[in-house]
Amino acid sequence: MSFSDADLIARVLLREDQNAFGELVRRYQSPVRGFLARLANGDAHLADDLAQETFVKAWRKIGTFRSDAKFSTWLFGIACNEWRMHARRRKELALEELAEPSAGLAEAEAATASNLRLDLAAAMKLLTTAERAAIVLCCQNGLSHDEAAQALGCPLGTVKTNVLRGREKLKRALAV
Amino acid sequence: MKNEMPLPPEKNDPLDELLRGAVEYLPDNGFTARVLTALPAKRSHAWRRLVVLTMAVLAGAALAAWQLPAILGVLHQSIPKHWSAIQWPWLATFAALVAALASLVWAMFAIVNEEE
Repeated sequence: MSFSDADLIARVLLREDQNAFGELVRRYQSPVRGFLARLANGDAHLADDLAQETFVKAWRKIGTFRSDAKFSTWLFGIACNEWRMHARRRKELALEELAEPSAGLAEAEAATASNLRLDLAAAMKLLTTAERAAIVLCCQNGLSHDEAAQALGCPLGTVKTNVLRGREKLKRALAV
Repeated sequence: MKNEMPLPPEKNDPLDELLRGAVEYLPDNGFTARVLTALPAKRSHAWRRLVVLTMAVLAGAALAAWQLPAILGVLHQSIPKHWSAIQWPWLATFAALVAALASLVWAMFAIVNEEE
């Protein structure tokens, strides 16, 4: 028998049922870890650490979850905050910053210039963190622009712009 | 719960196909078990602890209010004139009083610092 997200959340809220919460983790571990891995430029260990902290925070704060949003959107929001805190700690790029791609990506830029086809992972590194987050949520995880704006904690227009810019950059880099 | 449909992919857009094709399912590999191990103690336990501590403080305060004047009276009457004159019964009463006050302070400190 398969329970809906709402059923599982209700069991966690009423009985602090760790089995129900475990089922929620099993359902969403892959998209959350994948999202964080994209933000971390493929660093799977860092992504897993942040994802674990995301789910622990979700357990602590599940009482604040409002059922008018999807559980996945809420989780992506927590994951995003975890990434922001990590970025602040390491003085890296915060999501709000629309910084230029790092100098280490010169090789990828050169490949684009010479019309060589980049693979998607390398092309994604050409995007700013904000663009990458918007593309992963909207184009890979099926969130609407509204939901992505809610998860990323930024205005709807910013998400739309980031998706548009990100897509243009990817199209140029991948020559599609 | 909102059941908003995801954005419809642009038809025949190779970039969308590429992006969707790159989404791979990450096997759990013990991740869920690690998360469950890292979960903090149940909130109900913390709530019960708070209730027990509050009851203990109230009981201790009531007992102190009831017995403290009598104990202080006994201590005051038999207060030793010199350190050499201290006797075991007086010392034991005094130590018990200090321990009770320390327990009360500790309990109140624990309540104030109780994690929400």
